[in-house]
Amino acid sequence: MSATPVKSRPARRGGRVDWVAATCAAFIVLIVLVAVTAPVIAPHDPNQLDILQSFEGPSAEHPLGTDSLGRDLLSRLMYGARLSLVGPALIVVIATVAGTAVAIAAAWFGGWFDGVASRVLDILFAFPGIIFAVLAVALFGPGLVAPVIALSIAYVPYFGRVLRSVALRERQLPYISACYVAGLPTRRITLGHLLPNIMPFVLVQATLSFGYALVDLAAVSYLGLGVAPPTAEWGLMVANGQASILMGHPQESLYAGLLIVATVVAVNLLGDRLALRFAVKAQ
Amino acid sequence: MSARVETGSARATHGSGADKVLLEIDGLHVELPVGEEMRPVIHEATLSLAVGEALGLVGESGAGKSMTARAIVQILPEGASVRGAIRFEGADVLAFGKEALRRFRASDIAMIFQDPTTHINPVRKIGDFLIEALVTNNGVDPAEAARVVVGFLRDVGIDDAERRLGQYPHELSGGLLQRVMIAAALAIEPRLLLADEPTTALDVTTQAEVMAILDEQRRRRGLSLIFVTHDLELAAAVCDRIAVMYAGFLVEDHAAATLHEGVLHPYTAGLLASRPSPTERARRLTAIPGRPLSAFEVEQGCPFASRCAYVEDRCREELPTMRELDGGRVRCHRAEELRGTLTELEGARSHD
Repeated sequence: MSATPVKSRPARRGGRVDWVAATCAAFIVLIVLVAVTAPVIAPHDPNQLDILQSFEGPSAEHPLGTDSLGRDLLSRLMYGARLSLVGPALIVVIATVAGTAVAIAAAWFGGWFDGVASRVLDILFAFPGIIFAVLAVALFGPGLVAPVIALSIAYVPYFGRVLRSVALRERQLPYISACYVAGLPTRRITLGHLLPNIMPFVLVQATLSFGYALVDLAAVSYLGLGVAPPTAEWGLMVANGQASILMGHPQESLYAGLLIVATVVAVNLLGDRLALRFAVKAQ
Repeated sequence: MSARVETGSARATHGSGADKVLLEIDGLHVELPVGEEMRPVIHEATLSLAVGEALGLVGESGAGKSMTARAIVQILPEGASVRGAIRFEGADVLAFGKEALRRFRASDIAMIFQDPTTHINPVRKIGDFLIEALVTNNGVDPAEAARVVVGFLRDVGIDDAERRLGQYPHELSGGLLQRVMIAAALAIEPRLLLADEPTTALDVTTQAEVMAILDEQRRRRGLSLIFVTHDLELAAAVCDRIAVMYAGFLVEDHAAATLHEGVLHPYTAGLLASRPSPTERARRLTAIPGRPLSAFEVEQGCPFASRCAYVEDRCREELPTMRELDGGRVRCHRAEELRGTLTELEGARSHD
């Protein structure tokens, strides 16, 4: 969008580069790239067992060593990035769409609809996402689908609450009145005018939620309720490597845990920076 | 221009029956919620507007003039309670259902707001803003709509119209943006144009220019106009008729051409006297004593009684009714007695 320069447009503002945000963004891009290209760049098959080579230290063949079953850790981490990122991404997408829709509808229609929607969101708020996920697994069995859907529902209130108040403020603004006077239909005003104006808040909320979703989903896997072994997934790897820690081989849990933490920190820092930037702009 | 003004005043003289009435406001009473209570902002306003006529709605801040305009398009603040009737070509706007109201707004009426920078969506391009109503409501093809609006932009004095379509609102100056808003209002080819202090938020130097464009375009297209302003002289210059509001009450309704000769209400006379004149020697401006009342502060009697130089006991006790006088209408007990004196007084003061 910003790549199409218009002749008269003033020079881009804010010459100073935000290095923290840039680093975080670069890290996230890197992780995503690795996840996408895992089949090409992974040195080994992530599920290739080699009992004779269990708990190997770093070597040319296994840069990060091997786990208790002799599987290449680097390859498993690379493949693990796929599920570990796709899950939270799905949660964020579903929760963002649903939460934003509820928020705009509540703010727009007000009255009893707003009352009911807000109370339902409050009730959902009372349950931690992980409880929902455990419940869903109990009902529908382990795997990726049940926890993702459960967590998506659990995350709707985070979007709904924040965005409802933003949308409520936005709909009072004069340009919305002007839309009324122009005789635009409701659908057009809400989706064509209101939504683009609250988009910065949607993006910030989505970014911040991604980190939480990643941790929650990893926790579900760690509890053995998510994807089943031997599938490579970071949360599962943390759980898997636990037994080996006492035997003096912490690498599997350590690397997977570090990746989870690093990704979450990067995403959250980026979200914070975005929020800050929009807040400054809004003034 | 003078010919037009005269036909306008003739219309006003004969009241609603003589000409084709476009808009009729009948006993409009509006209350807004403030905390727990409902506070009145417009008291029983009755007005009519003929096809092609321009009406200046004049008053101080809080007099209810903007609210009157907003009531016509039904964009009052939430929780507002409205009584009375607003009839557009005989159809009661207040009784419109959702879809009828939308169609009414889409095709019959357009509004030019005070501050163009806040009334145009900041994240969308000028072109999108201009063509949106045409494309959404009239089903015009976007490319065709763009061609149409370029013509309207030229009409309001924007030469490099094509380039402007690709720009964002923040890239345009206030005056330019107000012209864009005028173009957008004209583009839907409405019957009635509402202009809510269209030049107040602009630079003094661009005010005259924008006003001239609005006036010219309206006359050329024969649109009816309700021009909300606090500038009585400006309203008198561009409108056929002037309606003066004070504290939520309509106090005078007068042909613009004869306003200076035959002011009917002391408040209007006060407004005229409190304005500097470029043609006369500098003098002390005559201020109306006291502060303007809000509509909800009026308790009984004439709303202007507390500030009026001609007040008598009756004024404090009994609310005057709006009645016809000298071809206009006035809400003052002593209008007949004061006829003539008000103008003299204004003349005397301005030659002080």
